[in-house]
Formats: sequence, structure tokens, C-alpha cells
Amino acid sequence: MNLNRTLPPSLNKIGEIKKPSLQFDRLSNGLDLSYINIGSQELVKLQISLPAGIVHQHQSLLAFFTNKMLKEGSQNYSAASIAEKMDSYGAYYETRITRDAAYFNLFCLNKYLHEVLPLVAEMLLVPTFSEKEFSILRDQEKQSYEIRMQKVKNKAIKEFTYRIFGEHHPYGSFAKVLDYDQIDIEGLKTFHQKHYQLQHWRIYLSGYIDDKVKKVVDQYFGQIPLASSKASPLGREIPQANEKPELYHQLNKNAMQTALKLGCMSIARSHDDYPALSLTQTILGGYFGSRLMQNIREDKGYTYGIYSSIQHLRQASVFSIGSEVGAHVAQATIEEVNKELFQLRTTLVGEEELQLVKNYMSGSLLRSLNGPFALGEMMRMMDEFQLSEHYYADYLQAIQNTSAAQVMQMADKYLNEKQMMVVAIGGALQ
Amino acid sequence: MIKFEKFQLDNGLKVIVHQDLSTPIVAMNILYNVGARDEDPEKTGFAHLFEHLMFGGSVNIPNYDAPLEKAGGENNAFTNSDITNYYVTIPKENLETAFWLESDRMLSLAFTEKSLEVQRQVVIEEFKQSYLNQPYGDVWMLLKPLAYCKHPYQWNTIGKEISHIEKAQMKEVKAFYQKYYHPNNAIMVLAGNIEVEEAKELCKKWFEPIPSGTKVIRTLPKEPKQLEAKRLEVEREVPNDALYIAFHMCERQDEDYHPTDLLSDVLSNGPSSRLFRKLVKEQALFSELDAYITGDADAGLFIFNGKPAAGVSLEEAENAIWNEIDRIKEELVGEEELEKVKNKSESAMIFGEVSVLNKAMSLAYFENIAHAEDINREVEKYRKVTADRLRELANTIFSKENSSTLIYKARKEHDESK
Repeated sequence: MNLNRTLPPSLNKIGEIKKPSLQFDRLSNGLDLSYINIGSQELVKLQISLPAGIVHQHQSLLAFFTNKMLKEGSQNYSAASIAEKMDSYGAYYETRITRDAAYFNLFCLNKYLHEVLPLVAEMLLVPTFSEKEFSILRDQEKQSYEIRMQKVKNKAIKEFTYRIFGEHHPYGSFAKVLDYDQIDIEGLKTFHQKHYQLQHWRIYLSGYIDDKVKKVVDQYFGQIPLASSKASPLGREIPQANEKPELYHQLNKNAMQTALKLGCMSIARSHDDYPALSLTQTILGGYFGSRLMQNIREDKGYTYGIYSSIQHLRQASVFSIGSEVGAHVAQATIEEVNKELFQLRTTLVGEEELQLVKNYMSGSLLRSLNGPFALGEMMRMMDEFQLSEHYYADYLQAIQNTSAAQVMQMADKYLNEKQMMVVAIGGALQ
Repeated sequence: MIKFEKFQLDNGLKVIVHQDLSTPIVAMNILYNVGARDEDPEKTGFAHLFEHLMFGGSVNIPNYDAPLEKAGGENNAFTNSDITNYYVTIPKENLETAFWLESDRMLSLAFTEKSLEVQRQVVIEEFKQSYLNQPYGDVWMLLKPLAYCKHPYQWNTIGKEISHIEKAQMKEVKAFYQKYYHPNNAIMVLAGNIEVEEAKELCKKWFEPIPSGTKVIRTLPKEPKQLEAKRLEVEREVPNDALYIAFHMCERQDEDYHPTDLLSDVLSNGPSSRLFRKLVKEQALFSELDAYITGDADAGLFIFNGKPAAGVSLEEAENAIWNEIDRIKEELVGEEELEKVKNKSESAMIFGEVSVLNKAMSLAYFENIAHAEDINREVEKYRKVTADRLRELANTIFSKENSSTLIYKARKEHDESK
């Protein structure tokens, strides 16, 4: 049989992204509910988003500990019995904060939702903030902070973020070890009081969402009257970022590797240039076959990995490149990165490479919209950034229509090597 | 319940197809039955280095990644002590591209000096990034050789030392490929938006022509029963002391595996588990504490690891763990507590079935251990475990003689000037 293995199978157009439609409902008390019904297993992911992130705090760690303390006991359940019940029903949950918001996410089998939701309501609405649990938690978190901050990668991220936004900027500030001693339980109670009330909740459900699920949600979250319709607490006003390109280098003794972080301010998803820029930065460092990976890893073997991305906060977007490289090649890596940035804005990308990245991005989006949990995340993100339902279809279309000349233009406008903040933590730069 | 169909090609390649039409993608997972345990003790890290070389181009296709990305696909791979596992996710329209790429690298590799040279460097940087340049990064490099004296689990997948990777030669690389990378030493799973008939046709076209290899017979040294407690103390520049205790346990296929797994769940799975409630919360002796099993194919380890809270000595911390161990050796685990960990393992299974890639990997894993069908018997095996059995096992496993303890001390600042 004659199989010519040198010829690739012909490629087909990747199918339309069939995003299950986002639905809305309103609970009895007027609280809005967004949901996506998808999937064959009887599972539910519940996300609750709260205006209680770092931008909302006036003291370091306030948002973090308030969120962490939700699981440490409520009016009717001790920390131990919350844990016991959650585990018994095989449910699990995560609490986390970002710069912009606080979250409570629950994963639960449909059949146990009615047992688990009353606990969730208690944890979020009437936590007790026990002094004893708090002091234990605080000491533990302080320890794990110290361990985290020993990693060069984390040091580089911190230094970079802080330098991009400035020390007093809510997007640039980081907790210091001393902050752990300053925080007290009264502060948490006040913060909770202001930021976690039911009228501030945004609720997202994804998974197997039938009427039964909605009924249970209404039973536990929809029957409590909302306080007078007070507007959501505003975050601090976001000042102008303090961006001025510079090179910051910190020597770490004994470091075998240097953590590098380079980047600059960028544009939001809603900006007209964004799809083309997103394509451009993917060519540079957004996937395994990217120019940075090919050059720094696959050609020179300087690193295990080097990637670029654009991080979106609600009121700012940041482009960055990150890597950990052999200490003796850190300087050489920075130079290579600069060469790649220069090349991208001065030479047209070839058609072959351009088409490859366009296809890769279509496939990648298809993967990221796969399954009830990923779709739930997407739904929440689109709501938070107020993107229209057509956003992803338009985004993909715009990417497909982007020309090589536009890529060069985007690189010149947004990814100029002279505009990059450079942070290097580790060995000496040679 | 995961439904699937299983068939074997003439060259010995086993194929499993699981259809899930709720997704627009297909996951292709290829497991090669070779891991770090198959390495020469003087040439460790080889299976993993080899995994990197698998992306350096194959006999008819100079570049693996670009054509896949062009088809909208993505891939990755991992190596552990037991297996090397490669996986692709790709939009269903372009599935054949994955067949083309994966079959060619099963047929033969390009083997260029440049690729070997670069990947040696990349792996050395990975070694540094994951093991050497991280606080507590070398723990496994200390604990495994402490616990194992004969079995190859004594070294980590990344290798015993950087020099083993530096010394890898092209002829060894080729021999390794010859020995392990052939259809009758592999399992392929296709999961997602695919019909069984389509899978069969594509397999016939791309994989069936690949000649089979010599059957690999694995003869690994068995780890002898440990007869006395082992102990190692080290000092490192880390913020906190840490403590690790490892006990030998059974193989994956042993009937004690599931009860041992539940034993670790009672102790440490979730916020209501014993160690967390008692030692992290109530007594606040630890800032972190975990107990888990390694889950290896051959006899594995049951590990406790923790970081004592500020002001708590390592000795106090170690005693506290042993007190909990003694309790579970003496008292029966309550019915409710047992029911709870069983429920939890069942729901974890269901949550794991959300992703097609997960399902593909699990099916390959179970087929490699014994039979893919076992994946649907897991819940039942957990359900059958009794409290009596847990207590018996705790008594068998948790003895001082069977323990290897690693004391990992934080070097104090003022010692540095010495």
C-alpha cells in the first residue's frame, strides 16, 4: 500500500463555535441570575462574584482575609461542621480574590445542591469571624507567604507589577510581611458588612441547570429580602499607571536561574485593535511554536519555557513575557527577546506562519469553551468585562481578517522593545 | 460510567474509543509503557529526556508542532516513573492530522544531533527550575533514595543528577527508541466527537502499517521489606522547617490499594479530614500538613508531609503525627467518616469525567495497569472497603520499621557567617 507520509492530510475549516446560549433569570427577591445549561453529567458549578477585591480595600490583606475567613465558621455552623458537611456531600469550593473582585465557587452534584446551598448562604452572609480561627489562619498564611516569596518567579512578578503600576496603585501594591501583623478581626467584619451583602452578589450557574436547580437557588438565595437598592461599593479610583521603561535587576545569591519579566501596558479586550494585537502577541510568545519558544528554548536551550500574554484587569491591561533561564544566559535572553520584538515590528510575518497562528487560535478558543466549567468561567468573564454575546465570534472573525501589515503595525504600536519594563531576579547580568 | 470500545491492530497496538458528542474536539492519548523505572541506574532521566526528543521531528515530518497548530490542535506529554504519555486535543474536523503526526513518530524519529543537544539543555533548565532553584525543590531527590534501596523508584523522573542528562549519547537514544517505542508497547485512546468506525479506518490507514517491535519484558528488582526505621536530616535555606515521613505500601493492582487510598483520605483529604482538623486547626501545630499515596504501579509510598507552625519544634510536630497514626491503628474509623470519604471519591470520579482529555488519559492508564474496564469498577471497589480493613492496614503500614523520615531544617540567618 502506498501511503505518502510526507504529505499532511488536507485541513478542513474548523466548525463554528456553537456557544450554548447564555440565559438570565431573576430570583424572587430581584437578584439576577445568569446561567448556561450544558453537559450530560448532573453537576453544577456555582460562581458568586463580589465587589470585594484589592481595589476595594483600604488596608493591605483586608480583601484576602475576609474571603479566606468565610469557611471559618458562621452563625449556625462551626468551621468544623462546614467542612464536615461539604466533604460528606462530595462538594468542594474555592474562595479567591483578584485585584478587582472576590469569588466563591462551588462544585456540587445536583442531587446534593439543596443540602449544600444553605451552607453557602451562611458562609457568605453571616460568617462569625472567630478570633481564634483568625489568628491561626493568619500565622499559617504568613508562613506560606514567606515560602512563596522565596521563589524567584514570584519575586519577578511582584517587582514587575509594582514597577508597572507604582507602589500606591491598587493594581501594583503587594502585601508585605508586616501587613500580616497589622490586620485585625474588626477590620474584616466591617469590610464584610460593606462588601458581601446579598444585593452585591452576582450569581452564575453552569452545568446541568434545570428548573429544579433554579428552584433550590431561589429557595436559599432568593427569599432573603435585599437591602435598599444601594449601589455596589466602588473600588478606589484607578490612577494612571506609572509606566516608564527601565531595567531593574536584583541579584540573588546562589541563584542557578534568573527569573525574567518584561512588558508594558496594553489595551482592553473591547479595544478595536485588540484582536489583531492578540494575534500578534500569540505569534511572538503565545503558544508552544511561538517565535520566543522556537528561539530561546528550541534553538538555544536557554530555558524550559518562555511565554507572553496579555493580562486583563477591569481597568487596565498588561502585556508581559516571562521566563526562568539559566543565570549565565539571562543577558543573552534579554537581547534575543529584544531582537524578536524588533523583528516583529519591522518585518512582515510570512503567510504560512500567519495562517498557522490564526488556525491555532481558532482551535484554542474551541478548547477553552469546552465543557460546563470552562463555559461558566467564560460567562462570568464576559459579564464582568461587559462584552456582547457576539464578542467571540467577532473576535475570531477579526483575527481571520488581520493582514501581515496589520501585525507589523500592532507590534510597532504596542510591543516596541524600547517601551518594555525589564525585571531580572537572579544571577548577575553579563 | 464511561462507555468505550476496545480493539487491537495486527501490529499489537491497543485502541480504545470513547464517544462524547457534547464536545467539538477529540482527544488522542498515546501511552507508551516505559517510564523512569525502566532506566539504567547510571543513566537516569532518560525516559523524560526522550519525551522531549519526541518533538524534534519524525522520519517523514521535520516538525511536529507546526502542522498540529495549523490544524488548530494542541499537544503535550508527561513522563513519570511508570509511563510516558502523549496527548493531543484537536477540532474534530482535523483529527486526521493527529493520526498522521502520531503514527509517523511511532514509525521512526529523525534523530538529529541538534535536537539532542538543545533538549539536553532544556531538560537541564527544567531540572534547575523544578528541583534545584525552588525552596524545598530537592525533597524528592532526598526522600526517594532514602525510602527505596533496590527498586528504581529510588530516583526521580528528572534523573538522579544533571550529569546523567549531560552524558546522554545519540546511540543510547536510538536504542531506547527501538526498545520501547513500538505499537505493541503502546495504548491509544480516542475520546470525544468521533465514531468508532471512523477511528477504525484511520487506525488502519496510519497505524496498522507500522511494524511491531520485540515484546518488552520488564524485570525490575523488588524492594525488600524494610526492617528498620530510616532517618535523614538536612539543612537548607528555606523559611520554615519541614517534615516528611514515608511508609512502604502495596502495588496499584493489590486488593489493598483502595483501602489504603481511603486511609489517606480519612487522614488528609479535604478540610474535614483528621490531620487538618486536629493538627492544623484545633492544635495549630502545623501550617500545612498532608498525607497521600504515590499511586505508583509497583509498590508505592504512603507519605506524610508537613510544615510545623511558627514556634513548634520538629520533634513536637513529629510526635503529633505519630499520635494520629496511633489513633487510627487503635480505633475503628466511624461509619459516617468512612461513608464521607467514599462519597468524596465517588464525586471526584464524576467531576473527572467532565473533560474528554481526562477521560482519555484515565482509560489509557487503566488499560496499561490491567484493563480499561476497571475504570468503571473503581467506585464499587471503594464502596466495599470496611472500617476493620482500614485498621488492619494502618497496623501493617504504619510501623517505625517501615518508615523513612526526612527532617528538613531551615538554616537560621546567623549561621550563614560561619
